[in-house]
Amino acid sequence: MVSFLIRRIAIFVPMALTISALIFFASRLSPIDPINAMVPPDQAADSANLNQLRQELGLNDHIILQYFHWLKNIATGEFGYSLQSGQKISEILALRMPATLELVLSALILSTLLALTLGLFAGANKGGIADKLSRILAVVGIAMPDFFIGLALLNIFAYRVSWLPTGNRVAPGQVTLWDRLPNLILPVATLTIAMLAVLIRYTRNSVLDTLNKDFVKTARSKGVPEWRVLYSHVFRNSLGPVMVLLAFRLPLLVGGSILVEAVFQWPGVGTTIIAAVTASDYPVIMVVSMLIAMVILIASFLVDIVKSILDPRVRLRGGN
Amino acid sequence: MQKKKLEHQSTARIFMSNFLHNPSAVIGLTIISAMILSAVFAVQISGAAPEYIDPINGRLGPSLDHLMGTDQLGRDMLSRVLSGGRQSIYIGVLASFFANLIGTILGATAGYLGGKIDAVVMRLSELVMTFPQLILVLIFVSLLGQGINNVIIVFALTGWMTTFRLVRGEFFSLREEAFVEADRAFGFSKPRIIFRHILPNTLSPIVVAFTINIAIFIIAEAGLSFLGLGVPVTTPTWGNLLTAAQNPVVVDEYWWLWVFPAMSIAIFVLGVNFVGDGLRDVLDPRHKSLIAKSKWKVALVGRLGSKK
Amino acid sequence: MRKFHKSFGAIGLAAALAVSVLAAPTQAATNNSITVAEVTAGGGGVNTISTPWFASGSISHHAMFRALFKANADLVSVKPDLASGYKFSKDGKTLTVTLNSGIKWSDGKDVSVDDVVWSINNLLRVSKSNAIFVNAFKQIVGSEAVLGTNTTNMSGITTKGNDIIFSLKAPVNTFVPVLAQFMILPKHVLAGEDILKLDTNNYFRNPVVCGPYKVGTFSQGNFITLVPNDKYEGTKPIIKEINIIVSSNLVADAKSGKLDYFTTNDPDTIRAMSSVSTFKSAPLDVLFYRYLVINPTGPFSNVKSREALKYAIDWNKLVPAIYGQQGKVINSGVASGMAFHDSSIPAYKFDKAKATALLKEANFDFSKTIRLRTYNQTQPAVMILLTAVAQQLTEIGMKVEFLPFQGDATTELWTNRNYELALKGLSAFNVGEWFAEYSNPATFGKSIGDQPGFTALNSQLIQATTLRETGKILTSLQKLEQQNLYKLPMHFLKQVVFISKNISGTPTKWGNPLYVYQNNITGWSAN
Repeated sequence: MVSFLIRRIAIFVPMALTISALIFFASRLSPIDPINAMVPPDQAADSANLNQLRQELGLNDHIILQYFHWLKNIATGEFGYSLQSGQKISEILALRMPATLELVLSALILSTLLALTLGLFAGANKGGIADKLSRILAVVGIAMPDFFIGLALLNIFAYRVSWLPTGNRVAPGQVTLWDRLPNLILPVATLTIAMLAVLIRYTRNSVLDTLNKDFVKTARSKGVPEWRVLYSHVFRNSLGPVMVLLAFRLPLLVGGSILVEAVFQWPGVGTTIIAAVTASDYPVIMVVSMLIAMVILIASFLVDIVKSILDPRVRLRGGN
Repeated sequence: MQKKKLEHQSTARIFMSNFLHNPSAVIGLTIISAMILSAVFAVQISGAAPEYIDPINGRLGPSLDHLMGTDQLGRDMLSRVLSGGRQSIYIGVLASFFANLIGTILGATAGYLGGKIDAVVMRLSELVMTFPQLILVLIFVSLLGQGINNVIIVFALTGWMTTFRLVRGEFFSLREEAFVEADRAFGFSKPRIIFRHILPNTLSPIVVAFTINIAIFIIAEAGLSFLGLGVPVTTPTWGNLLTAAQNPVVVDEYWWLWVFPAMSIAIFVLGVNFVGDGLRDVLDPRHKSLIAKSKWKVALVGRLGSKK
Repeated sequence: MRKFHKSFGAIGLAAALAVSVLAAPTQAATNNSITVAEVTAGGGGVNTISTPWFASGSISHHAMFRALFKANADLVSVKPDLASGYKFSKDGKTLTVTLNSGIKWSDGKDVSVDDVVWSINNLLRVSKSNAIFVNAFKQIVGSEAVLGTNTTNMSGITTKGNDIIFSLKAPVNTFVPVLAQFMILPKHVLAGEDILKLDTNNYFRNPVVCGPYKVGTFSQGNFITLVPNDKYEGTKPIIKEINIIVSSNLVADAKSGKLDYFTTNDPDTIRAMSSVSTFKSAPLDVLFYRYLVINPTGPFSNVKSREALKYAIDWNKLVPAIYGQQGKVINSGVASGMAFHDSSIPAYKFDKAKATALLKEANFDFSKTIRLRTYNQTQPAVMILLTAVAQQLTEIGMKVEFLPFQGDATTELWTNRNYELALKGLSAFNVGEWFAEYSNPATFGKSIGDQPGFTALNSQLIQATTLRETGKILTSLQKLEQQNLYKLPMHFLKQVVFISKNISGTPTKWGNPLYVYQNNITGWSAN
């Protein structure tokens, strides 16, 4: 196990470095001048002031030097400044991450719970209500982009019947999570429906798979009650693949809700990315993509470990 | 020679007959054909050019004159929705084609050769696959700029992994088969073995992936254009029509501006998925039920992980 | 996936999922608290209060910051504020301003002449500032010394007791109105900070101020609550809390009572607000220009081809269709209806034949693709208007490609210039600012080169002392503009103030909400 871990870490470091170089040099292909991007086209500030700023920000240095400088800064948590607002990027992230986590994590948990329950019943009782429901959901999830589900919910629940707020996360006077709950419902519902589709299908198939296994047949023939067969044999054995799928979804925690955030004006990482791309605010784009890449590497690291625990052969083969 | 051709014909006939007896494939094919036809004859069906401006009659609700209403410049929504399909489908098909091309070439090479090359490409695919696709697309768009061709390039570059994994998996199992051993014994060149001998045996999953990818890219185009970062606004696509819904007043009051394009996407994507399912049943007899064989599952997990 | 059920039931299902439906808390305006929507720096949530040296006019600026003078709603005449009065020398080149004593910052320190001198010197040292200040303060003797250097004092500003004395290179007739827009910031707080990056300084989250309000709660990303400043020497404000929020849907928030005041020029919002009976509105004619910057190299090198744009596009139909009452088509920097408009300039008229004839006369190259660009891609109305422009240009035979700029607006407009037509907006303080653009070496200068004609007339304009003189110069400027047509004026955009009917004590005549003026905020009350 230890040597397996070491091997994985040995892959991790060069990959992280490669990604960082790719991100940095790709961003320099962008036609944006970071100093000009900070000033509006009507600006009258003297070019002498701007040149001073350029010097101060190290933009006159050699590009290789700038890369190492950036790398060092990233490693020490100095993410730089947004071109658009001039805010510290670390600050923007500190502010936006919780909003996205709150949204995606709620949806992830809710969709997992619903998918596991529905998937189990759908698999155990093919053609039953749960099965039909899961099929409808699968169709909805496949054919309707998440932002369309969001727009439909927004139109109905926020505009037509005005039960729920139209967006945003916190209003003045809303202090506790309970106060903010109404703002959370629509975006979470949207994301949950979008995530459910594939997850239910996946759980259902996994359950069907397990039901065909010999040990289930044996348990049944031994007269174990059906609910126990379902719970302690089928459900638990179907969990493995579902957990792998969930681990693959971890990167969604950072950038998985862009369109839903756009629809609901949710002040999260997604809206930050959209604003950054629209305004070509590349320091922000760089940091966010770096962050996501790191989350992915760590998640795939975790997936490998989960897999190696479930299946010792993986450990021996070296992680493919 | 003669015999071989006959055999070929009969497989094609069996395939067609199977395909046409598959209800989901037939439904899907009907939907797709109807929508493609109506996209081609958009002007004739709606009686208006999609770009014809009539500002006085802006934002009229659906009526007999304009079955789907008009937009702010008084352009006929029916005409725009129908013709919007042209570019959207074009983007979906072309992007899917190129993504599959990349995926097939890389998958065949990595799967046959194995070793270091395989490990590197595999890592790359893992990385691209797990990176939230929209973000990757946004990064590319911010570098390349907007435009139909750029959108296609970006989708191809970010969407080849499913095919790659499928093809690679097939090659892994096929390269140990007797006929490949025989090829090697004959001293055939590697490209010849890979592309002339093994590849034809992996066509079924590639065709299925091609179909499903069309749907995925059409949805992706919609998302990108919804954010105003896809195809230039002067070209009607389903996604560009949806851009109107970024304005809360439109979501609230002018529902016809976004419901109709969104429904078109949903229906077309469903059609494509039906065809994909039908093809899967017909082409891959192993895939009788929804329980997938392991390599399908790997592909599926990857796809799901990368979706959205 | 194989068998399908007829009903998709997406919506019904969603209803089932949104298990607990809670009514959103609403707060109507009271004397205890009102809520104001503002656009803040960075977009997408409240980040900081934007620097008043770049853009002013928001309620947070009105409520917290003060200038030497307070402008009236016309933005030209002024009343005393931090200063008790001013006096010009006979030649108009020396201005003496007397500071009031006894005014305190919210941290208890006195507002002194040092704060004023520091602020004016450092305006020329920041990287993000409003052109009206830069243009005016560059006229102070010795201003070159502080630009782009570490020198912090120009020789043209001196103090004597409570008097601040400005020596100007030439008379500047807008100097006092500009000073009334220029917010004095506290030297003792900011002197050690990085001035180049002042606009992003943490100071703007909880600024030390001298206005009637100060920041009470700063909830980053969400809202800012302003509370009365107990060090303020004037009448105590009536309203106890002003919440500054960013609204994603102004109309819905106004309807539900979550919002009491906002200004906008978005036509859809304005249209939808007409059904909100709890609000009153004040549409304001402001100098908000929208125009096409024309690249004078390439297909539009001949002025006749630029003139053709007046007739090739149905401006009189398109602008009202998209902006309704908000948009007013203009054919000159001094629009018809304004004083000194040159009535010899023909009005725009949709006339394809005339446009085609002009293009033919200009030998227009129809084979070249016309690149139409904008940096306002987040505004739906702009995108729609330009889509229509692109379509109508296509109809007279041009090949048009309409896209948002890929790079940043400043570089794309002035350095790269990869466009034939680009939409630009200008919120001007006075008409002079519209014409001053032609002789700004940092912007238009890069695209159209030195413009001695404009430069001379512009400097005459700021020195003009009589209305007659001003009128004569403006007429010459308009003639020069028409001869060149580097900018094609499209339309004005009215700004509308929306305020809850609950709030009283507001001014009878509102001023341009993009600038600061006497809006009587301490007298506002809500019931």
